[in-house]
Amino acid sequence: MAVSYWLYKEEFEKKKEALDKGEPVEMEIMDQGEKVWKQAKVMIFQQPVEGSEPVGLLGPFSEPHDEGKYHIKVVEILPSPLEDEE
Amino acid sequence: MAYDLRDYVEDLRKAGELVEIDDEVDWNYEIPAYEVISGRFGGPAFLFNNIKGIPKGPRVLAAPFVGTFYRPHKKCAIALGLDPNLDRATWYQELAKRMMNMLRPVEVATGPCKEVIKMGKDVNLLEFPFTYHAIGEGGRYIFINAVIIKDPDSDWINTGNYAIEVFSRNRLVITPYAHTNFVSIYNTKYQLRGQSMPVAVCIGGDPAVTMAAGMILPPGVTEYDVAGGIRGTPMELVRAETSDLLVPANAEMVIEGEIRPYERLPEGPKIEAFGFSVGPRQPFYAMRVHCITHRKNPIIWDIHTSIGSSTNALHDSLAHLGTWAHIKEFGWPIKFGCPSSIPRTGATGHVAVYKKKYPEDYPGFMEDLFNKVMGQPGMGGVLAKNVFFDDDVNILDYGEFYEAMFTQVNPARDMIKTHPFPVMTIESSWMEEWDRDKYVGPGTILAQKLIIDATTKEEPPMGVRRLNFETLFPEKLQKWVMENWERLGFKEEPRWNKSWLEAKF
Repeated sequence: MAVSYWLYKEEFEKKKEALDKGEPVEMEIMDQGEKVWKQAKVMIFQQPVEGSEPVGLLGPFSEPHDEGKYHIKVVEILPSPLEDEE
Repeated sequence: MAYDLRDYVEDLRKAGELVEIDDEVDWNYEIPAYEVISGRFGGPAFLFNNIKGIPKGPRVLAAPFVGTFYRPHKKCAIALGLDPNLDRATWYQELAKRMMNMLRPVEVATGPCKEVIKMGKDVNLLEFPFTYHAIGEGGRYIFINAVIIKDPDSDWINTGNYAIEVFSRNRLVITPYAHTNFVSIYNTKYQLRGQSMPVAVCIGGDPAVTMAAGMILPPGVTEYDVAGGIRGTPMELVRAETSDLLVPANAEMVIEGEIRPYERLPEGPKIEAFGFSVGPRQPFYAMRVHCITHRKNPIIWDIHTSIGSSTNALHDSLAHLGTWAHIKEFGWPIKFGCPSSIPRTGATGHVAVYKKKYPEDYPGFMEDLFNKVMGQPGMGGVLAKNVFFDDDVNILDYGEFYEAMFTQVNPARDMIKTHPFPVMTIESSWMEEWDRDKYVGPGTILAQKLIIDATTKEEPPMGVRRLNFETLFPEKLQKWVMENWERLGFKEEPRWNKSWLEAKF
């Protein structure tokens, strides 16, 4: 399944309690268009909701999995780390 | 006029080693796929003129160094004006000789790399076709480059080729291995002094610069000097726009910036120079990019890391020379060192040819020798295995290599485990997340190493000798066969190991 973003699995596991709570959490998301990571506030869901996009998880050794199993709604793209100073 | 990447493209074309493609191709997976397939059969390089989503101008040269199983150096030879059909032993001897004639670079007022200059807010790395190489890769990578820094206490300019993640429009993440001079200079000098380190990333220019950047040379050796040596003419350098660094005047692109003390960004996971993925995503050196200078219509060259790729070819053709430079510098009783053992998989084992009986062996000699080799800056962190052979075993011939490995090694006696050394994270795949804090630093983990002593332990009994083409027939006959092979109608080129037996490095 085509996904819009990847989430880094280890970070996702640590923030999984936010699943379906409708509360934004801050995490890295990898934009599949530009293939770069962005810092963002997102809400995570198990089912698609209005405005959400399907995501996949990326394991620590380049193994993508669970494509389309979760969905995120991007609330805000944050400045990249080290970017905010300039 | 100094030799540059565009001259190399023309030389590849003349040698029938270039395919030019005007159809639209995608930087996302598609361009790298050409190299992976080309690598399977020692195929051509590709020049892509039309990149999807990129305004007309930048081009991509893929598979620039793909070689063959027995001649991984064939395109490197073309780049240096040498015969691509040289056998490996002759290639190494020629390069070793050229290396010893280092030539200092010359500074020039300006150069083609300054045709377009973008500073500050105009910098946008994402407008160039840096490629995305594989499913699961944690970003777009610049795998072929020359990262230029300077020792703050001397004239030593260090240049290395590292995997670089394009993190954002003006940030790169540079991932040198823990044993590199880059890490040594940054960690022990700039960072400890609270200073920012100027950095320039050179793309293109004379291929000799990038070739030299890929060798693991002893501290204090300036790769520009080595590049001048292997080219036979001094490199032409020009001052960077935002620092005092000297950069190749004819580079296709120079990305300038700084690495501030203790600044890191998350990087990876990625495919590595050894054909495997490595992770986890971990902090590496964050480069703040302040300026990009480039030629008009720059050619961004791109390499892959899969089996048979340009990365393998560069490892198999050039990385050995860095090891050889260490051997020469420290006077070890070793004929040749070769950090690449398993065919076409890059540096997966560290191999040395031990010159038997000098000095006289004593119990523990091999371990002592190994510790001397591993104790040198630039060598210690490389790899977890080190194999020693007799010097009549041609380690550039995989048949002889494996024969010695399987016939001369008694596992109980000849495989020695050392105390823990820092090794690269390539070997961290067995490590669980909760263990990492304990063992993992940026680019390195602590692990035992393995010495395999594949040298002959006893004299061959009853005059038994190795039976091969080189020992079975009179030399005159061997020579005749080699010289007449093609004339007799055979197409595949034969391999004659005489050049290895006679090699003097």
